[in-house]
Amino acid sequence: MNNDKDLFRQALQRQNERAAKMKMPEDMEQRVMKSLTPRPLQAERELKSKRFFLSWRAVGSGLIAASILLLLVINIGKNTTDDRHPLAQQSIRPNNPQPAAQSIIEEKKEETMAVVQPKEKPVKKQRPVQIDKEQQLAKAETPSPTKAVKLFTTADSLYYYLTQLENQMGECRDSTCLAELSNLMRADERIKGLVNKIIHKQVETAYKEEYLVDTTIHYIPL
Amino acid sequence: MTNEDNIIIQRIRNGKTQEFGLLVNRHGPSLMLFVGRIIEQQKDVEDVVQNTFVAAYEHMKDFDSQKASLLTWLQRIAYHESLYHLRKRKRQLLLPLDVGDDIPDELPEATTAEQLDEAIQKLTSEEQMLLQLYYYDGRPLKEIAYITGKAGDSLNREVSRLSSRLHRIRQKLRIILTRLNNE
Repeated sequence: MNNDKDLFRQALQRQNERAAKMKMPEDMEQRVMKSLTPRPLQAERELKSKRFFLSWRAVGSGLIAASILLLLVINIGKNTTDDRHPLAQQSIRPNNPQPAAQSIIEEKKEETMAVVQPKEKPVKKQRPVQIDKEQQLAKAETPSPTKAVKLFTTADSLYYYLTQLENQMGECRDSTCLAELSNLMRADERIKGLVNKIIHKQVETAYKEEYLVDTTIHYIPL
Repeated sequence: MTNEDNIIIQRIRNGKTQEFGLLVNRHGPSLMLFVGRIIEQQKDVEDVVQNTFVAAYEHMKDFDSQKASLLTWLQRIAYHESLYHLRKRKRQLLLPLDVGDDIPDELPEATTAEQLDEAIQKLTSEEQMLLQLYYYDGRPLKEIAYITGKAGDSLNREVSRLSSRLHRIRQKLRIILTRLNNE
């Protein structure tokens, strides 16, 4: 193996002799120094790339922050819509022949559901209605029917319709208005019947609950 | 030598760029000799050495005097620069050989230095350089591994890779020499 090494050294000698003939040119230093990027320039380049990176990072973070803010605003906007006064959320059906009657049916359904399932959001305390009519109509055009049904109560609804009627009755001259008036009168009769029915049921229940009928002793107070 | 190099490097790092010329003058001739072993043309050797110094300047912050001396670090850069230069020239393997594991790596008996020199010429520049570093310079495998290794490579892995590579080169030489003897 040592012989091999010597042999290799001898064989490689020729290459080394050739390499030894290569002298470094005198201007090598100048050539190298000319090719070098000046350090300040290099530092400037690094600074530039750093700035570029930082600006992009700032833009990115700004975009993220803006989108989060936008989402929040949208979300708050939604909540605000939901929290509006129940009256403002009602959908108006001007061409409906029996608006009062239908709304009462809807309200009754809602009340029944409310007894079975407690509402997710408690309805805010009712404020006296002083909202401008046009404003109300504008607001009432858009809300989704499910949310609107959820949030208003029968009393609110009646209160609202009565206010509307009070405003409209003075200007009621044409045939359409008169027809609507007769519809309202019919609806009023139905409301009266409904109220009577409810009162009757309540009296009956109160009577049954107050006294328990026993066969041996006639009336045992609870 | 190493201490002086470190002082100069420190000055360069502190902004005294012109001091880099000192390093060029100190290590330029050694690098010329180093590169001249695998590249034959004087002009090409000069270009490679120049590129080596430029690369060294640009990566001055990466130099770690604990790992190797400045000259070894420069030789590492020069080695890769030379290979890059040769690859650009599309110098292909002169004698593609299939080397199996069953071939012994000892040189045939009665091989002369001239024959071996002729056989070495048929190897690739990279292989010739490995032989130079190992047999002529007598450098330890670890140092050669540092020169030939690439950034991020594990030194131990590079040493074992180098060892098997030298084994394959000797096998190759044996085949070439056997063919030369038969001719």
